[in-house]
Amino acid sequence: MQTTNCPSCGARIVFQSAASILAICDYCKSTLVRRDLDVENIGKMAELQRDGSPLQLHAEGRYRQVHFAVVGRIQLRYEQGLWNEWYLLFDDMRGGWLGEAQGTYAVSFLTELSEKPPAFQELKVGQPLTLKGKLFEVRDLQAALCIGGEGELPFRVGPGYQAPVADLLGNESTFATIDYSEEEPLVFMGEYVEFDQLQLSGLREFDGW
Amino acid sequence: MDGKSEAIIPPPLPTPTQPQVKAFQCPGCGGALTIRGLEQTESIACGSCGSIIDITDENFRIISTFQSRIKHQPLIPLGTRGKLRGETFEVIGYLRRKINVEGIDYEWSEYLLFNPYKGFRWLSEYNGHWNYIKSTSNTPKPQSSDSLSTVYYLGQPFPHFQTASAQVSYVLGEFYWRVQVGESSQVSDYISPPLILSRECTEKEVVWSIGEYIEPKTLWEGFQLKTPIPPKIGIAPSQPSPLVAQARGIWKILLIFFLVALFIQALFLLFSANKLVYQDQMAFHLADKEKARVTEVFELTGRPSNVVIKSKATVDNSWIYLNLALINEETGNAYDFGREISYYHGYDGGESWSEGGTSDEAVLSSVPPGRYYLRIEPDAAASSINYSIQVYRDVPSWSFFFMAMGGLAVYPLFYWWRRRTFEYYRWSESDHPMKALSSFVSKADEDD
Amino acid sequence: MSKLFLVYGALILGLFAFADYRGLSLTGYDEVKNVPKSIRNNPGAYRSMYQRYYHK
Repeated sequence: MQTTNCPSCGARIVFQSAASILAICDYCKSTLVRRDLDVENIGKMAELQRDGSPLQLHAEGRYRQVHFAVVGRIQLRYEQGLWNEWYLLFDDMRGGWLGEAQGTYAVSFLTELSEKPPAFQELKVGQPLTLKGKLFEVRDLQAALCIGGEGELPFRVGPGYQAPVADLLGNESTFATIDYSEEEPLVFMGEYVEFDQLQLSGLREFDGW
Repeated sequence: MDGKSEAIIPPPLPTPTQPQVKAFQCPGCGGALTIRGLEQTESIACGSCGSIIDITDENFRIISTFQSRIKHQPLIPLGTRGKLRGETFEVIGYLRRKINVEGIDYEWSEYLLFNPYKGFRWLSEYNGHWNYIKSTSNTPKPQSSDSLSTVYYLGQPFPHFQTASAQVSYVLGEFYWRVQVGESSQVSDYISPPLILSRECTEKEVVWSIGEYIEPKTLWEGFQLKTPIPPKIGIAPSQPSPLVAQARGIWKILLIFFLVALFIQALFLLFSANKLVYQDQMAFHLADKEKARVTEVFELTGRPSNVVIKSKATVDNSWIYLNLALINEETGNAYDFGREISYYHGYDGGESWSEGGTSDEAVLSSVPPGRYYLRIEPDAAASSINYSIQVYRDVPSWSFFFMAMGGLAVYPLFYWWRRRTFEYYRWSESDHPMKALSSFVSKADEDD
Repeated sequence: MSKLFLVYGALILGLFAFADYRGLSLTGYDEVKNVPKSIRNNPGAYRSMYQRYYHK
């Protein structure tokens, strides 16, 4: 846990996770990159779109008996609409992601692979792919547009940033995502979960609900 | 920690905006509209003027309008909240879609249900049958291009039911996409009652959803509706057959009955006396004046059981007729009957033929025990024929065993017929209607 | 519904066992009563319904 102050407005900035390198100031929306003891303001983060998501920063939940806190968020736009990736900090200090859109929830983790996955251009929808010994099928190949973020994040994001993303489906609700925005593609593997399984608390309130 | 001498006191954190149910005026007709989707919906259709409005646009721009001769009223009014399977949902949208099969339009209703935490669900209604539907991320296999084969979802087979192009024909309320009357998608349905798997395909994407047949009673209770429940017409694709559950038990019971019948038959085979109580050879002579004769008295023992009279005669292209009576010496009760033995044979145009036989059997039922004799009066055309008669007591027979087996099988067969009839009606509306049982019968007639 | 089958099946089996036990037959033959004992000495005197047979 590292606490500092926003160089722009002085608000308290907390990095709960050691893996987080970026934080967006809750007050002034400055995007702050973590340096050793200090933070550097690299500009204002774009306004997030109102998408009615029930999740919000500081919400909590449980996944496979381990408690987590929601510490960050990236909002993305695909062809089908908006999608949130919530950055989770687990009690065992692991970082994970909760993908959320229109009542569908999916938990995934950054996974290290022994071999590099194929290049984005080589992939075709419907193609089988084995990752870490498990069989997946390519379901979607898209350019995801990053709209913005909030909280703390383990990598740099900026608005207007288009990332080629491959969505793969495995057996029994498992899935994988390959993010090709960096030189080294990032592979996330996880599973779809039901809302009730996550035992979420600290959620946003809705008028009348 | 950061070296500054004093911290600037930041303004209080703005409280996160709570999405509100919003009332506003329809830009088309001024009618009152309510947004219930709490930022998760994109369009709303006005029931009064048919305008479809973009609610992500702060000016509430009208995207399209449509005309409808009929103003349809959803059976579950918009804004109704109810509990389904322990979860609360609110009806926020209503639309009608139709397909055209062989020149006929079939139109059904769909209700969009919303819960800000759980997302969206659908209820579909056709002819009084309801399905509770949600989208699924488990893509079934295989996804062959012809889409007519059986798909497997979570290991379960779902045979193809129907593929058609579905068009939106009416909209009311809110939706999570910019809906348009007239928009269409290719829908393929696969069933495994009570479930129905649907594949919706537009140019942009393929979405799978899984539905479950739900009783309207459950919906009316969940949404606390007081209106009468519309009656069900016909059989829905995902409607569970009321007869299937009982079927398995019946065949098992049949097997047990068969074994019991076999056991009973075995007992009778084993313990029947099958006793030869009388036999004799006799001769018929046309010349005899008195042809009638009586046999010696013999004893029929045991419980009342059958008597089998076996007769043989040396007929060759002729006949003999035996007028028989089994007479109880003491009581004067008699069984009176006649048997004919005839045998004809020849060689005609390269083929030999024969008709009849040289032996005969008559079975008398339930003859009480006692002392009996036979009275025989033969008649024949030939001048002299030899014949023999044997009388057996308590002979086991197979006919009742087979009758019992047949009778037992009738019950499960009746059930099978009823189940098949149900499935026939289920599949009659599909792309793969079943052959009617009557078609098998008429086919057999043609072969004759 | 399987209970009904149990009853029905038991009934069929019961009838079947009874038929076998009593040596029933599907063909019924006429019973004649009070045949006098004198027939043994004079078989020709017995008049049967099946006496005359007109062969086709």
